[in-house]
Amino acid sequence: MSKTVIQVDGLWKVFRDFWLRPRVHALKGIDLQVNEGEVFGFLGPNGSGKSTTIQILLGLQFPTRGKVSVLGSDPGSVECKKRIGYLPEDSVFYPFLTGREMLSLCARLSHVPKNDRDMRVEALLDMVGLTAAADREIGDYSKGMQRRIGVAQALVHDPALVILDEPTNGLDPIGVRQVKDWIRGLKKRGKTILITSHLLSDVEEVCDRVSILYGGKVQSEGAVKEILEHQGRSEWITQSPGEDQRKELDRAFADQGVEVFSVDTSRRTLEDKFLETVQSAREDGQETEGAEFGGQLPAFLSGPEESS
Amino acid sequence: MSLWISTPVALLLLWGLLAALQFVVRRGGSLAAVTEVMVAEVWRRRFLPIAGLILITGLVCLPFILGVDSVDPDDRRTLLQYGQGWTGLVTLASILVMGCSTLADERSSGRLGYLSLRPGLSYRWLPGKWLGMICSAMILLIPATWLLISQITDPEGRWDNPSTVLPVSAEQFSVTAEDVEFFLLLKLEESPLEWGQYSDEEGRARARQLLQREARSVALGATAFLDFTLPEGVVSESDSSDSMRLSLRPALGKAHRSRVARLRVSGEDFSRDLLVTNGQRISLEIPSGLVRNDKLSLEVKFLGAVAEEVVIPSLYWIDRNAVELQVPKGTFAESLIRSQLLLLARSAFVAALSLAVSTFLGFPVATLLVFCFLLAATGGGFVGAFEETGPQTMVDPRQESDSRKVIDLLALGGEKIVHSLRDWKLSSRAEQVSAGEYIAGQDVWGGVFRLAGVWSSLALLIGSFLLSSQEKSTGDDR
Repeated sequence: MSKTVIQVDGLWKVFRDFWLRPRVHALKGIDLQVNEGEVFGFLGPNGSGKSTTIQILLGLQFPTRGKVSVLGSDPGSVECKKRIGYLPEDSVFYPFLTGREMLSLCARLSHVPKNDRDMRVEALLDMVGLTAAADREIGDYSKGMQRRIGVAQALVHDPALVILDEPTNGLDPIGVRQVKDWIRGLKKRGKTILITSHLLSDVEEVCDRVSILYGGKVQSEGAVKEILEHQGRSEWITQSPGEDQRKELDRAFADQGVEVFSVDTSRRTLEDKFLETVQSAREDGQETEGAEFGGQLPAFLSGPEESS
Repeated sequence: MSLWISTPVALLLLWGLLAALQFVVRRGGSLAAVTEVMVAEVWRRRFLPIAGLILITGLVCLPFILGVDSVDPDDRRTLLQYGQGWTGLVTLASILVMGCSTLADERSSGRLGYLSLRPGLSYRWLPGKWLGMICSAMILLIPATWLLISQITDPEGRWDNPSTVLPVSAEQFSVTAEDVEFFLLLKLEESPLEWGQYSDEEGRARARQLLQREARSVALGATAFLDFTLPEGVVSESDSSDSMRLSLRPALGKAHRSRVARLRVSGEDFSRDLLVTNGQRISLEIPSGLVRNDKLSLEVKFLGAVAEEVVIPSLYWIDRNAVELQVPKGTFAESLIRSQLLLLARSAFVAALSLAVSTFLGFPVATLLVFCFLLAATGGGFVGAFEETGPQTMVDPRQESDSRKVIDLLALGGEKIVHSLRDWKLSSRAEQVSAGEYIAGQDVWGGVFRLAGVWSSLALLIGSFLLSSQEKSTGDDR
């Protein structure tokens, strides 16, 4: 049985004003459990309590009531901080530092061994496709490039738990695809990932389980496959049948008493078309000042039992 | 040294120091990383280059603005006074704004919350930033000191490093506890009715007051003894070309403001008659042969007013430095560097205070608060101006009321706070440097220890505690 990485029981958070009068009841008794090696989606409309929950899990805010345990420790403890990687929703990086300096700073602040530091920074820059722009100041980066550097800094200390707040926010389709690939790659290496996003299709694609919040309460929770399953319906993708074959199939379904709701021509996604076009331009040797195609996850990102 | 040479050297120093600093801190751990970011912040946001340019431009233009020539001793004093004032003003103001803006910006942008996720950073954050700010202050102060030193030239226009003097106060002004007890007993014998009405404490205070006044005055025709103890070896160290001087500033009383009196200073086979004017400083050369075992004894006889129709009953030494022996010791450059070290210690304290205050206040309010502190501390000279309760003070019955007691208590608290600011006030040595006085090493290290050590550590500790106990956010939505 897999270990529990995040355990939240009856979590309440009340924001108070200067006179300590209750101002906002952000969380009203949330229960949550995230297991090791799982990609967990944390969903909800604006103001539903997602960010507050994450801030509490990170130890930045203190719960009003309830129990929270992250990686077996109290949130905010040194042990816990050592093993968490976090990508904030807003770009909060120093605009006057270069991408390389920012990653190096994060590595130093996270006590990454000196002899490992440069190797990790270069590997992550390569992963996020920012090697060519590594010596430009972050203030000059586009929003998507800042997001990429954000992903890189979250991984620099090889964390066991990665919390990604809106990871695809501001990214181009190539970046979105890459982030999803990285998330899958991290899962394969046994990392636990908690994601919040408003792009539900992305969450659906990569998450094992999701929790949907509204009004500070968990409204629905479960495995993606289970909660999205349309009871009593199924989808087949086949080679396009000819007119006669189509009539034959309709008849066969009718004979068996199976109702057909819709039949449509299969189409590629716009994302696929976009990626194909950019890839083609790249192969033609056209240059860009922005982010390049990123690489694979670096080798230093270890499995859960090896990570510090 | 020509400004055409010293100015580019100062600018090169500014740039070179920054490059050297970045090279050094890049190799350190997490504390050095915070320091590096702080230095990068003030440099790349153009804060340090602009402050440095303002500082250097001001110092370069100062001789032209003031219309002074550094060869003349009086002009040199003016130049040094304004130069050090300008350096202190620009450095402290820069550090204040740096300290208040950096943390306030990080708090409001959510960067502080994000960065505090790094393990063990809460208690390294403020010290790291503080070190960065001290380095920034050094980057400003070193070129400024170089410019000040290089502007002092001799009559031929060559760089000059004149010697400084160590002022030694006369010993006879100090009143011991035994003196007070003896005087009190004498007075109780002489006039028991007058002195018997005071309590023990009041009697002693009054006796001390009278003795101190007496010790500082010389009656007409009387002789006062001036005993000086020189720091060990100071006479043998001094250059034979520079001799000791006795500096006097007598007060002849309000009625004789513009009068001139005669004074005789003597010791062993030495004797000089002087004409002194009320409140005017006069000095005379003292042969070093009079010093025996680092001790010098002189006699001062008050011979009365020059004009026959005027009677001046006594003269009085008002200030603490009204009588002092000026012994040659050290050089100007040495003193200036020591004074700048104290300015660095003051900068360190302002940096720590700004950081501590901006852990819970926004930029404008934090700046205002620290600025008010600086004003209060600079005016710390009014510490002694509080009314002293002596034996002659009448006790007003209204003082016994509860409200009065509360007010008195608040006033006492205020006085304690203001009194504690004297460390700040005492750590300013710019006046002495411009007056050509020697700055003792123990003054410097004492000031550095108190301001940069004790007070700064206290401020950083409080700031770090506040920072670690606060709720934070990684966005600006809360």
